[in-house]
Amino acid sequence: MIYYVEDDNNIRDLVVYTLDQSGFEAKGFKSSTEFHDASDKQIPDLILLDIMLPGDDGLSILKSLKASKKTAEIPVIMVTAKSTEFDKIIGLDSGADDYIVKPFGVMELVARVRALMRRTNRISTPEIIEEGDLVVDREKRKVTICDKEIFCEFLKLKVA
Amino acid sequence: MIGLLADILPILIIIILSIAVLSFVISRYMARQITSPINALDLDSPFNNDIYDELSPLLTRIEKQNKNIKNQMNEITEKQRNFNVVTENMREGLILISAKGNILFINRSASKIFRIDINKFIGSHILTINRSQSMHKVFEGAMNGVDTEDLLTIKYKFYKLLGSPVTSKHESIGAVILILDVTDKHKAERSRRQFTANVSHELKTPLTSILGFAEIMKNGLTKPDDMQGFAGRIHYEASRLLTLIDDI
Repeated sequence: MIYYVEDDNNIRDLVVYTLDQSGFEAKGFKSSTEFHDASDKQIPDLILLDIMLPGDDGLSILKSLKASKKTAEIPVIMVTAKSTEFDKIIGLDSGADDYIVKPFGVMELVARVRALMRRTNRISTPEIIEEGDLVVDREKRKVTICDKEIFCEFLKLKVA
Repeated sequence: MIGLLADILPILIIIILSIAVLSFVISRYMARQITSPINALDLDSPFNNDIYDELSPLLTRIEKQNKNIKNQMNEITEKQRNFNVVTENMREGLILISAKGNILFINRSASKIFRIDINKFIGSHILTINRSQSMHKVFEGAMNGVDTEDLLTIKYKFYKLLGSPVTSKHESIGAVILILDVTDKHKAERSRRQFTANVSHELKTPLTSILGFAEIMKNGLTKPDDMQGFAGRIHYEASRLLTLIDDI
């Protein structure tokens, strides 16, 4: 489960939708209060945080996460329009594992999420699924039927 | 014969000596008669003298030269006064330094900027009034014959230092350092940058949505049923972007 805190509705929907489509489960929250309520019920595998938020900003959320034993180990990626080197240093030094600047490429964001999940052993990779003649190699993104490779789009691979 | 000569000789000698003394005295007197009016000449106003006509060409020349000298003196004093008026009233700091790096002149503005007493620092080395790296750079540059500039901060104020070499016959004989107060410009630049940062943040938010939705649609990550809704979101965010741009 991935949590994403972002006050802009469209950006939040965009990222949650794309993560869902890429095989992750994701939930979006528009403020720190909503996020804290949800994480009290279920602790996520990874958190995406915007910095400029109404109420507590992303950096305060990050600090409160790192301060609590229960949540300190959750990987966090900052997703923000604050783009100076100084901002990035503050974010990373406050405990973030990665820092993505808006506007970002959605595919890159998904790839970074996947990489961070892999690094923190939160998804099992690589995976080769065999169903009779059908072989799906998730690491190489290759689908073969009867040893013949077929082109497979991202979305369809997810279904597989 | 010899006895006669012996008798006359002392008288002869006395006569010769008397003539010598007399002629000396007379010639001194006569010479003084000629030179005393010349020595008594009033050279400041040559035409007010009553003297030999032969000297009048000389007196004319002296008179001419006197006029020249007077004019030149006036000119120099005038220039000095102009220089003082300009340098004392200019807002910019001005420092003239010799080939050895010693201060020849500091104007009032410069003394205010560096908070120093002008008289105490005339003749001392330029770096004794300010030891900053920028002053060092500008001074060294100007001394090596290169126009150099740098920014200097003193007590929350920003100054631009401009160093220029002073050369005579291709040889460096000193330098001029001009100090400009650029605090206002600096502040304006900073608020402009702040404004730009705010604007760019405001613009990036809708752009993130537009780019993102377009990207996932392009890459076939969207379900066909969602396409129309996403196109609507792109349209909405693009209109928002336009409103923002119009508001700038």
